[in-house]
Amino acid sequence: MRNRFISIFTTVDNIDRRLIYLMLAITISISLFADVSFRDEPSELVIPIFNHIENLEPGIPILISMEYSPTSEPELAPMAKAVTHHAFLAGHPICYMSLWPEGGMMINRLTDQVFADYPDAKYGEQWANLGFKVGGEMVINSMRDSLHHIYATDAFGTSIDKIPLFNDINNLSDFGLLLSFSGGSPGLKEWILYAGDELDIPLAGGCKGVGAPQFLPYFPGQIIGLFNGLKGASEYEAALLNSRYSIDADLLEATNRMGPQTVAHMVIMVFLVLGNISTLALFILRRLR
Amino acid sequence: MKRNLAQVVLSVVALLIVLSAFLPDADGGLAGIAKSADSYFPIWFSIIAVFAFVLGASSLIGSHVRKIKDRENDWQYSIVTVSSFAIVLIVGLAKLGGAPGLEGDVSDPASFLGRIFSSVLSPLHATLFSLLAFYMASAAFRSFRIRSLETTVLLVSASIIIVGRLPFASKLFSFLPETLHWLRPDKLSLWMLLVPNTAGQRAVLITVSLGVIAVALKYILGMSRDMFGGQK
Repeated sequence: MRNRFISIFTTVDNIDRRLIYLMLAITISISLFADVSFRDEPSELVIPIFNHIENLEPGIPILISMEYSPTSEPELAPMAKAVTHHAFLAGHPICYMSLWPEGGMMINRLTDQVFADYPDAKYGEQWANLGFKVGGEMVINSMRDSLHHIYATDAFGTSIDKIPLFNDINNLSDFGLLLSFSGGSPGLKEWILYAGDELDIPLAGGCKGVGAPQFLPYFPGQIIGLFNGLKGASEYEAALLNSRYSIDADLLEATNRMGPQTVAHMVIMVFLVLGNISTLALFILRRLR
Repeated sequence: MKRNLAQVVLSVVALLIVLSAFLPDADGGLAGIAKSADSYFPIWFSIIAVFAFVLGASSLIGSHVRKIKDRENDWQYSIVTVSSFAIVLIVGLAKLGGAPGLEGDVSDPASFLGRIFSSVLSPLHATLFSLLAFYMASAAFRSFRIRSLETTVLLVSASIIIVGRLPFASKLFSFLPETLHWLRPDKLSLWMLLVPNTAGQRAVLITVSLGVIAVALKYILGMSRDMFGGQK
């Protein structure tokens, strides 16, 4: 009997990794097709960002810098979308830019999707796209002194002197909030070092779930808040849904995407429990021998 | 001579930028020079950085063409790299399918470059990154075991973080009295990220920063010239 148990637990202990892959694939697929989603709650990491935008006087512009590529788009784009919805509804003009070559495409994709829901939004007044600029942290450094020094035109080649949004913006200090959605370097860290710390401007950002530990040391002193992976975006969406704005829940991606991620987390936990039960059982059974 | 000139340029530029952070804002004197250096050097850097793209691209193509010529291992992949590079470069430079001339967005979604981005690059990136979930699940199953003190600590902390990241984590253990709410997985996972993690990260950050300062000083003072090539 004991040998039989040892055999069973040894099998569990050495589960073929392909079985783990298969279980994950099946459960994630089912949750995707079944539209499984879970409503989140705002955490103390995103509430300060939400409250800061709420407390900003309408008309004060917000800068969103999108330092990510399609690799991290599923996690970071929902954050940028949620903030865009919020800023737009609260009456803050939004200026997009990127320090990553792929960022220009990411901005186009995001603005095409979000502003399709707001056909009255006027380019150049309520939002503008500065596109990608090479130079990383040196771009931020230049923008500290003068935005017009480093950006002659927007992403579409229009002189920024002809764009009304930039009439009252001379440098980074004229923005009410700087946000960097960062999938790597240059990204949020550079914004902290070269903009937030230097000018004492409210700064926040978002990163992939695995990247959050490296940014949390800057919270709450140097960044007012942090979107911690997809969950951070879903928490922000929860804050938006609980707020005074009437917003269609279907527009909020992170809440819907958290379903498959949650299911995947639960599957991993099940395997962790199984693996440790088998390890413990084998340890005890071999001792008994 | 060339190396000495490069050293002088490096030391002067670096010292001016460092000084600009410490000197008060002023228009004249050393403070004024440092202030304008801090204002103009980043713009020059942005211009020079563009050339880094050319350098990087030529180095990439050079190494892959050599690989194809010498029929090194997996040289077939190099053909894919070189041909993909050429196609994207031509499509991007010629702005095929997009607004012609210097004006107009090069990343216009309607252009061929935009289509390559959304139909090829984007799904490839997403596919490769999503595969990580499977590897991470398998790695977690093998690593997070009660085998030693270290692995047990890893298991407990990983489990708290995983459970704490669930959207309904705050509702788990909601039966606990108010005084024990800190035991809820969402609270525990946030505490782990904000306290032990932050302490460790700050220790690493400060240590690395001190190291960076030491290395930078060596370069600024000319104590290490290996970055200019040749002998040390």
